[in-house]
Amino acid sequence: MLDMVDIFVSGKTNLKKKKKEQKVGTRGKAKHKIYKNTHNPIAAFNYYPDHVKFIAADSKERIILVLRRHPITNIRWGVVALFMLLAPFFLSFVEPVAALPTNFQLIAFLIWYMITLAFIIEEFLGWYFNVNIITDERIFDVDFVNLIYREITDANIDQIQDVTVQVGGVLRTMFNYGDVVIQTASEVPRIEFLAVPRPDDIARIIRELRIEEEQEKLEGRAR
Amino acid sequence: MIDVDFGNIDFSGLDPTFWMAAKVMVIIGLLVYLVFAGVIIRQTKYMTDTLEIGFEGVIKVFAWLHMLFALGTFVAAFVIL
Repeated sequence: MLDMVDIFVSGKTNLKKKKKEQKVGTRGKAKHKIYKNTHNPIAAFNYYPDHVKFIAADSKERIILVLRRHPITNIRWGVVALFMLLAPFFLSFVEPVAALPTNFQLIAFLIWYMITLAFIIEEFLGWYFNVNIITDERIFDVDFVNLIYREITDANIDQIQDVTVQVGGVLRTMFNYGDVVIQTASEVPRIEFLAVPRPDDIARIIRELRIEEEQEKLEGRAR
Repeated sequence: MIDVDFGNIDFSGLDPTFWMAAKVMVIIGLLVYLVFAGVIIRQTKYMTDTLEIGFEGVIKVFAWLHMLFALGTFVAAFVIL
């Protein structure tokens, strides 16, 4: 379970303490010591990531959670990539490949591996950069639809109306991942975090952030 | 209906013009692929500009490796075909 006592207790002292611990927007220096953070930039559940810079976040905004699809969702393309890597060793004995002149065989071999490398890079980029981000002010859904088209959807924490966690199926239950559907009062009525790990913890973090935000409003500290 | 016997394909009797045409097609294809490799580098930059979290260096290295691979294949096709 996540220990969020430190984070969501309101008060300026606590915020100052957190800012000291967290090095948002800085690079390559000391790592913070927040409990349960893996310090791993390719983790699917990045709680208070060490060094993060997000184009749509304000300078004062603290990034609390960076989420990706659960790594298990990469298995499908991983298996395809494995077959692609091994295929030339089997196909080289098969007609008509074996009947080609040696120089054409060599080029075909190189082209095949070049395409395989491109496939792996594209799939990894798709997984790595399609993220969901939760800050202390907003939630973001970042989608790279194709090679150079980006879509960033955001909603303020105080506009969140309802958070639904959907976990179904054997694989999702076993590996504890699922969808978090967030209904908002903003222009985009629905933001979905799909196949993210630890959906219950995510829902809890959002809930506590909403409470924190309401408290800030009452105390007149809201940005 | 055309019967193709993949067990007995023999390319050795083909005209040298055929192989020249094949080489030109491969080179044109690889030129187009080089553009695609450039797009991947551009895409990587675009994505890392959006979100930096500490793994961008490795991603960029792989994008450039892919570009070098494509360039190497293009040169190899030009030389050995």
